Amino acid sequence: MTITKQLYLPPFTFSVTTDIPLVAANLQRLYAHAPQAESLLVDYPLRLERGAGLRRLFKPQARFFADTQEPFQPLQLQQGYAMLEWGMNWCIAAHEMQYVIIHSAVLAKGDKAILFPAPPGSGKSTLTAYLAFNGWRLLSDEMALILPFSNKVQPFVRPICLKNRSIALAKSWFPTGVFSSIATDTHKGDVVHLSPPAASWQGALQQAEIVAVVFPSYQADTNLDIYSLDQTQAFMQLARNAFNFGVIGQEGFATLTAIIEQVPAFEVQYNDLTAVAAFLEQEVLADAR
Amino acid sequence: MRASQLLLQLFRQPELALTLSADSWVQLIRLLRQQQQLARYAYLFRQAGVFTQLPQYARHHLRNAEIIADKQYRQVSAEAAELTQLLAPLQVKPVFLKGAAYALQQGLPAGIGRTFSDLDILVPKEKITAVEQRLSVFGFLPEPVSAYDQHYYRKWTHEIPPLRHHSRGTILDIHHNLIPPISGRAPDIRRFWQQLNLTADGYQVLSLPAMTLHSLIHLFFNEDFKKGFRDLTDLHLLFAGFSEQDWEQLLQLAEQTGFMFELMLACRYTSYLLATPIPAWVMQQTEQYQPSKLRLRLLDFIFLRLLSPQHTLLNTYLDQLAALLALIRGHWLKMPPQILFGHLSVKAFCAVRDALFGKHQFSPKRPG
Amino acid sequence: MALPVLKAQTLFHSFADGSGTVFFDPDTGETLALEWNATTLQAVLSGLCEVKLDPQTLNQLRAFGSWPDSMRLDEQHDDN
Repeated sequence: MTITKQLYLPPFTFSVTTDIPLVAANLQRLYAHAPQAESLLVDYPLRLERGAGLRRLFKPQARFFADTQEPFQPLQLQQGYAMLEWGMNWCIAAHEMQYVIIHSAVLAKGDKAILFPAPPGSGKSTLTAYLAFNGWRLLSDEMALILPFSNKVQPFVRPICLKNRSIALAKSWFPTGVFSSIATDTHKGDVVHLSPPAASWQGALQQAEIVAVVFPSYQADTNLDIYSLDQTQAFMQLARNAFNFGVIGQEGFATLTAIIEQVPAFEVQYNDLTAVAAFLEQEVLADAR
Repeated sequence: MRASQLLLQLFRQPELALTLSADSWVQLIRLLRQQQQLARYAYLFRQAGVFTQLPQYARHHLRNAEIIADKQYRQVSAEAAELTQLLAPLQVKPVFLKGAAYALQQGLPAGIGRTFSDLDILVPKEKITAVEQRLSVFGFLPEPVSAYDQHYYRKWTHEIPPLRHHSRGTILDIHHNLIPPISGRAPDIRRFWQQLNLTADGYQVLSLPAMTLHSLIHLFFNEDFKKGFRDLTDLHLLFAGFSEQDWEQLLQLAEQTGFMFELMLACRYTSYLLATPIPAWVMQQTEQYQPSKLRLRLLDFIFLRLLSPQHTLLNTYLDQLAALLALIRGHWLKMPPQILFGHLSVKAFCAVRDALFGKHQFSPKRPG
Repeated sequence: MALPVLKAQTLFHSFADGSGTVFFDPDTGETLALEWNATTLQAVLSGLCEVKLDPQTLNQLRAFGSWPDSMRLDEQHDDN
C-alpha cells in the first residue's frame, strides 16, 4: 500500500510518498508533533520506493527520489527511513540558497542560540540529544539556517541522528523518547533517529540569535578542556562546514565574517556531558547580553 | 490547462504569471525544476517586470535557482581561463560549445539563467589524445564508464568519455566533431573551424549562426528529449538575436553541411511552440525541405509533444509513445543499421538485466 | 617593484582581533586564510612591507590575484 504524508517542517514543506511500511510507520511516530499548517504548498515532493526487479525477493532495496531525481544509490530496505532523512537533508543542501547553511547543530535557551558545527565522529549528535532533553530547545541537529547579513538562525526541527554506541546511551537516558527503528550497517554504521521533545517542535517557527559558536570534540580521556579560538581559525572552521558557502558568494562571506567578529568561538574537548552543559549555561550564555 | 501548455504560454507572455493562483505554481515549479528552466523563467519574469509581484512560493524557488545559475555563470569564466591556459602549450585553443559558450558571451540572453551539468569543448581530432593526457595531469580524470561504453565512445562517436575535475567536480566533454562520424552525417568540421568568434574576454566560441546550427543539430539529431524544451528555448533566444546577415549565414552553413532538414524542424517548432519571430523568407526556404505530408504529421506528433515541457510523472501514454519513436529515430540517424542493431541489443540487454535484477547493481559507483 | 594585484571579484577580510586575513573568490568558492592583520595586509598590497612567502602559499594566493615572483621565499633544497 502506498501512502503520502505531508510534512510541514518550517521553513519548508515536504510530501513523502512511500510503499515501504517501515518508512511510513517511522514517519508517523517521529513526526507526530510536527507543526500543522492550514494550506500547504509542497516545496519538495519526495518518494521512497521499494526497488523493482527480481532482486527484491532475496535482497530488498529502498530507492530515494526527489521528484524525478535520484541522487543516491539504492540502500537496503531496512535502511529506508534513514535514507529518507538523508534525502531531505540533500534536498535542502542542493537547492536552498537564501540561507547561509552550516553543517551544524543548533540549540537555544529562550532565543539565545549556540551553533555546534562539527564533522561526523565528534559526538555532536549525542551532545545535541543530551541538551535537547535537558532544558534546551533544539533548532536543528544537522543544518543551521542563518539569515543572510544577520546573526539570526531559523529553526529546522527534525529528528536527531544517533550513531553506533550513542544509540544505547540515548535509549538509557531517555527511556520515553521516540526512537525510529534501527538502520544497521549504513556508511555511518548503525543509525537511529530520535524525535526531539515536544517543546522543540513547538518552537519550530521561533528564530533565535546566535551568541556563540562551539566546536565539540568528544575525547574519551578528557573530562572538559576549553580552548578559545581566534577569529581566523573560527571562520575557517565554520566556512569548511558551510554547505553553500561557495555558491552564494558575497552574502555568505559577509554573514560569516560578521558573526565571527560578534560572538565568541570555542573548541570543547569533553567526555562529560554535564560538565559541557554547565560550561555553556554558566559561562557562555551568562556572558551573552 | 495542462501545466505543460501553461509553461509554453508563459514563455510567450510572462506577464500572464500574475493571473495564476498560488496553487498552480506547485506543478509549474516541479516541471521547471525537472527541465532545469527555473532560472531561465526567473529571468523572463524579471524582464517582463513581474518577478517581484509573484507569490512568495514561486519567488522562493525561482530565486534559489537564479543564485545557482549566477554562480555557474561566473564560474564558467574561471574554468574557461584555466582550460585555455592549460592547453596553450599544446598549441590548442579550445572552442567552447553549447551552454558554456552562451554563458561566456556577456549579455547573450541564451546564457542568462542557462544551467548546464558539463562543459563542452571542441579540439582538433589529431590533438585529442594529447589534450586528454595533459588535462589528466592537471586533475581532470576519466569518469568510470562501463567497458562497453568506453569502447563505444572511442570507436563510434565524436567525443571521448567525460573527464571530471577531481576537486571541483566539473565535468568536461571533449569533442572533435559535432555529431558522431559513424552516422555518415558528420559535417566537414573545418567549416566550423572557419566560423569562430572571440568573446570580450578572449575565449574562443563559434559565431552566432554556427553556434545556433550546432544547437539545433544537437536537438534534432538526438534520441533523448528529456531536455528538449530547454534546447528549444535556447534556439528561440539565439534566433531572437539574429540579424538578416546571420540568417543568410545560417542558411548557407546548413546547406553546406547538409542540415537544412534539421533547420526546417527548428524553424517549424520554435515558431509553432514559442512564437519565435522568423523572417518569412527563411520559413519559405526551409519549407522546401519538408518531407511528405504523412511523414510531417508523424514528426509533428513526436516533436510537438517532446519539445513541450516534459515531466516523467505527469506524462501521458501518447507522450511516452512519442518518446519511444524519437528514441528509435535518434538511433537510426546516428548509426548504420547493422551497428545500430548491435548497439540496441546491448542497450536492450541492459534494460532487461536492470528490470530483472533492479537497476544500479551493474552501474559503476562514483568514488567517494 | 611589482605589487600584488587582487582580482576584481576577490573579497578579503582582516579580523578585528588581529588574528589574520581571509581571502574568498565568490566565482570559484576558493577560500584561504593567512596570518596577516589589517596593517600587514595593507602594507603588503601597497608595497610598503616586503614579505617572503613559501612557494605553496604563494601558489594558493595566485587564485585570488597576481603576486609577483619576488615574493617567493626560496627554501634551501634538502636532497634526502
